[in-house]
Amino acid sequence: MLVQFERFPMFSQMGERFLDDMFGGFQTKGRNSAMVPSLDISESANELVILAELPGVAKDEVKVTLHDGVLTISGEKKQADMPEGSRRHREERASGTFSRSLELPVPVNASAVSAEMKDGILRIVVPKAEEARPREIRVN
Amino acid sequence: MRNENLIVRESSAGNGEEYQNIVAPNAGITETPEAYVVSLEMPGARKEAIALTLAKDVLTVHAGIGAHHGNGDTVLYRELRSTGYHREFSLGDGIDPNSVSAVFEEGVLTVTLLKTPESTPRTIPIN
Repeated sequence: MLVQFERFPMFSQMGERFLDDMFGGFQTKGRNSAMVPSLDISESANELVILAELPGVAKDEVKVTLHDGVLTISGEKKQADMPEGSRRHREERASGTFSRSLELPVPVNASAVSAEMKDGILRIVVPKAEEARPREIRVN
Repeated sequence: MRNENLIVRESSAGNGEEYQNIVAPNAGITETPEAYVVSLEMPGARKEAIALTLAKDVLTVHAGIGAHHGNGDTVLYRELRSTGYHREFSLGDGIDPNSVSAVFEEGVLTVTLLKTPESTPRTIPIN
């Protein structure tokens, strides 16, 4: 799989659902049929915080990797099971595999990254490397 | 072909400035033999901030989203702009208004509306 990324703050967006939409046009439905999680990035003195909207995605279906300063959020959002004898009237919820990568703007401490899921939002906390933190210089 | 019992109203939340970033959550509607199940994607909503009301034949869901970032943090890039969710559904006949139940899990609100016994398909045994 070819994964591209662009420099921060541009992001690559790759979802197989996109291909589904292209080649299976009749299956396309809903407003946001491509599964591309929306992101926020914020910064404090000592860390970067990345938020991703992943409603309906189970915790163990998400993978967060950090390699050479590039953070990648990927996984799969499964479509809800259809009980027997039921039928779908409307489907606006996107499903399928997703991957989004971003180049972090500062050196980070890769071994101390943490991530948690709450109410459909993935929150990744990336501590900045020592050299990227603000330092107070004593005036003698 | 029977009529759809659950009609989604494409209502806006309001015209005022304060509603600018209140969005309609993406929905999925499934009909089972016994019920309609409406799933609404509302990432960032807190369970205690979700209001689900049924008045006359209209089911309304409204929810606020708390602040995503800490005070003093610098937002470098922002796509999460919604401050809340709002959507209305007109219910047709055949839904028992006293049967509505809902759960909020993984940012998805799932509302189950049971059909009235009269509109539940029954198999009649042949003697």
